[in-house]
Amino acid sequence: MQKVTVSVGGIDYSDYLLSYELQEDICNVTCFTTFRFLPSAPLFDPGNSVQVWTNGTSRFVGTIAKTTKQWSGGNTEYTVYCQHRDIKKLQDWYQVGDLWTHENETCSSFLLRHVVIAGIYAAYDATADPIVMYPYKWYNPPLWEVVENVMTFAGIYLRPQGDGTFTFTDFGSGSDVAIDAEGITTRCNRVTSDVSYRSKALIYGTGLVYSASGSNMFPHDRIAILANPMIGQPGEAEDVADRLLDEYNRLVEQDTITVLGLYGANLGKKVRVYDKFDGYDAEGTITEINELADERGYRTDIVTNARCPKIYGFAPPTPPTIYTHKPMVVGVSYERDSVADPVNTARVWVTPDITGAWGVGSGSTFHYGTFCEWYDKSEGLTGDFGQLFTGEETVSTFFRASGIIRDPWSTDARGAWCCTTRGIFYTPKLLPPADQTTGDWDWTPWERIVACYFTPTGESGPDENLILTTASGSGAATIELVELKANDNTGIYVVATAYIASKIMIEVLQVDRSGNIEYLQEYDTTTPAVWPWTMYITPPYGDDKQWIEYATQANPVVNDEERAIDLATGTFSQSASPRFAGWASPIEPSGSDGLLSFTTSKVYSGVPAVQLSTYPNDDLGQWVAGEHLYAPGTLRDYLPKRFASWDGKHQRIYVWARIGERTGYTYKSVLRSDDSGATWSRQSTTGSAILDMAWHAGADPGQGFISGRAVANTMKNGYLETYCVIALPHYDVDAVNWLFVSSDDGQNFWTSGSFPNPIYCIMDMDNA
Amino acid sequence: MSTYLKVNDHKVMRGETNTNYASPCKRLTFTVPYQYEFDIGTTVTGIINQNGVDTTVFYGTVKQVSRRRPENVWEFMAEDIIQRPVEYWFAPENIDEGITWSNISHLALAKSILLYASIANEFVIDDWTPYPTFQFATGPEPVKVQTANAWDVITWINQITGMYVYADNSGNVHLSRIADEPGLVASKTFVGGNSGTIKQIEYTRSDENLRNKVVVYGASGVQAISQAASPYLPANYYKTAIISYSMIDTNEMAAETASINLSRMNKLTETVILEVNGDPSLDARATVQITEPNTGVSGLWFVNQISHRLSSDAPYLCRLTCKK
Repeated sequence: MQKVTVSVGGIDYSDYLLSYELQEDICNVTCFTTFRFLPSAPLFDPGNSVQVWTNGTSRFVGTIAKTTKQWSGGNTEYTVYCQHRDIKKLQDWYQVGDLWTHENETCSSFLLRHVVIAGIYAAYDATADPIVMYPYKWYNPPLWEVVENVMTFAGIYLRPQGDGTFTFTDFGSGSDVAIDAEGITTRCNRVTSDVSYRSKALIYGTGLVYSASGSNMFPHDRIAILANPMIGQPGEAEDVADRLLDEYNRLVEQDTITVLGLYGANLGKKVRVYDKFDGYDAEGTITEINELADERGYRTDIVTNARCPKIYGFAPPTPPTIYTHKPMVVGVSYERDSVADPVNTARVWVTPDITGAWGVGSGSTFHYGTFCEWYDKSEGLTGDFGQLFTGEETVSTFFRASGIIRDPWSTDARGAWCCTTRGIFYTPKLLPPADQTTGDWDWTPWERIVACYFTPTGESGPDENLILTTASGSGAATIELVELKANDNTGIYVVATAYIASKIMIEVLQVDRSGNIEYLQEYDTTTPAVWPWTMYITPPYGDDKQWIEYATQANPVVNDEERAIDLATGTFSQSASPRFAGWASPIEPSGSDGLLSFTTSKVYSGVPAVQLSTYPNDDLGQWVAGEHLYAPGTLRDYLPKRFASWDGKHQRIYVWARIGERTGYTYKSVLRSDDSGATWSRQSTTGSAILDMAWHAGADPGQGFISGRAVANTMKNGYLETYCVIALPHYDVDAVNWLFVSSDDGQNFWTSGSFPNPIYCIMDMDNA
Repeated sequence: MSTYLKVNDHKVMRGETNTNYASPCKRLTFTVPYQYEFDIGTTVTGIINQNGVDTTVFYGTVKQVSRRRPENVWEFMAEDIIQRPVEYWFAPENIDEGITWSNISHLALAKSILLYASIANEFVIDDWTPYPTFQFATGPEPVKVQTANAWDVITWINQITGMYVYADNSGNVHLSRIADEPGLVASKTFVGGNSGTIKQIEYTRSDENLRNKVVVYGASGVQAISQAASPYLPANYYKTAIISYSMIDTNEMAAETASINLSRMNKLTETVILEVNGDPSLDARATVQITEPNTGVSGLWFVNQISHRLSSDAPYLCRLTCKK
């Protein structure tokens, strides 16, 4: 399904579209779109009509106001700027002649009567229109000036419609309903500011002055002045002054929320963003919207509660819950779950019994109580809790752990975890006790944790919660939890992959629109393992029930070939020294119907040889052979940059990696792929180095693995398309190393044959 | 040894101060993992500790609080005391009468304006030479302010008299002579090249702000013109600046205003933007010596704008915009 369609002059130019952006703003009365087109698109003239459909619905009808041709770094693009059709008409109209109010005319009558002058037939949807205007005449005014004047006076704003019209409305109108679209918030930013704080209102009307004071938090008055000739009666001035104070005699609390894949957000609607786990609770009215669709996907920024005289005085009703920052499954046991309170770390909260709020799993589908009640179980905690959750540490962001831990022998979910400043706390037992609140928790410090996750745009996320490593004891396990979010409103894809001792388990899970996690498939293998190659592909135009397509299963064949890296040239060659084990000729991926499969004849036979250094200590002086030296809290810094560009014909993919050596060596190199990622060359010793790695000869680096995978979308030819690059370098025994890169159209994938160990490479479609 | 920024004794994750000679307020933004005691109106002091030595680089109040997710950090923005006149509006209930002053010196008028904006007892009168003292409203017409922003009024006085108002890092408000050109002695020296301390540099020259003629209009009948040739303009060609305030009530005052402004404007706009290793003692209004062979920049420069950037994961840097 095509998500964004654009026509110019009635002709569909979606195939030329590189990006689409819509901005709407109550206070500044803006509604415009900006498009980037391929250079092969016609150079559209201003005045052309433009229509945009998103998700099959007309979102915008406007008129081209400006067309720009740009050249930068070898790329040529067109940028087309369009204004909303009727708002442009209104703002462009200059009235030759006079405008005046009729006797006892109301604001609605005045507004509707005068916009017709510019050929506009607007709707009026304000709930109350009691305001009779003071007789007044404007001489040769710009029409927009008059209309805005009346709107400000009456507390009315414009709501642009997707068919090119607009509606005069207010916050008391009955048209405001909750947005029921499912949204996934990825970013919330709350700003509190005194920028529009006013302690006094002063109204200058026709032949009168009226002032009113509110509370004052400053040593001097900050005054809101409103001068409007339509105010002719003291009662009107008092009413306006009161409404000004109601709007401005307080601090601004403005939220900016990024929602993925939201279509159809409208100005004036009420939203609430609620996160029960840390008390984040933002509610308000949408005052700004910025929709953007490009190579990174479709996302919407919503700004709530900006202050504006066009909306003053109308307190919105209690908003509904709309966007919930999904608390996800903090930790799941079949009996109970518990987490620490991020605010008051002395407390521990538990969920009720599964028979309470938790959904009951059946078959291969599980429902988790993401919205269930939590109870404070702080009192009486003893033992491990007192030691684990100390007052010194901060429990944070555990709500983002959107995966679950499962054991390969059972379909029941096990374990629970949360993240703190010290590390990840979890219930290590595959079959935890019924009551997790009494202890039996264990933890792994951040130093031992390799963490990565990717945002819907393929960017690396914080190091905080997605890989859990337990590396000792009979239950030695490495459990990786990777969160992938779809950017096309299909829900969250959750991938949980566990490596448990000699067994390997792969799970692919999906969260549906209701937040329920559904179990997709599992592989369970034994040593000598079939090491997993896992590819996760977000369907380009996912519907609700589209699954992640993936490929796995490789049958390794022992091969004695070993390779070494020549640090002087950055190339790999055969070497007698088992410094590095690579791959022989790979076999191209094959498959159909979107299900990719791979086989290979190569397997690791040497000693693994990859470690990460601590960043930003470029001297690599902290390396010690055979040990993992992951610096706490810095792993995100290792994540490589991805560069890609689109020149109108070729998708250029560059994956960069920096190579370093362990203690005693200072050499670093940057490797860069060609367009296809098939061949690699040493680029420089400095520059855009991203990833620190070291080739480490001989010693056993121990357990662990590094894996990277990303799904990136690009908007090309009007479609949101998906590209995928995966590197799965494991430096445990018998681990494999490989990189997949996509073709230009994202339909085919190749392995990077001449680069035997890309280690950790991700790409997205950044127009770098 | 390490360098860090602390605000009210809390080490911050990231912080930046920005001072611009052309803007009224100094600004501090900082990011911390907790809210601590910071909220709107909280008084904050920013101190950079470099090699164990504390240097105060900011004093002001919190104006904006941001809580970011998913990072879960708090970001605060604070401005110095000059934000008070920026926010204060003269809005007399009798708009025709306004607020008036008579027979008042420009320094006294400025202090009175600032007093309205709750700045009192924090003045430092800097060296005023060689400019004259201006005495406003010596005749029957008073200085009248109707609906106007207090900082706008200060700006009028600045333009007429060559005054400049700023707050130092201790919160004191200075009334000083405008001095947006380098002094005779440099407080710091920056050298380019491989062994130098300059990390980045950009040098720009333009005639954008050059004016070789200033026309001043004052109260009824008051007028003055000051002009001079410019080597960067054709002969007998004048780019003109007009200054018009009814507060200028004598021809002598108008002539002084024309003369002061012509001396400031009749020159090329030369700017150097450079990035250097962090030094907390660097501030706007300083004179620095720059020698950079690649761009050909040399000599004494006035620091018009400066930012100090500190972060727990990046080196401490200063970015300066200097002018001749």
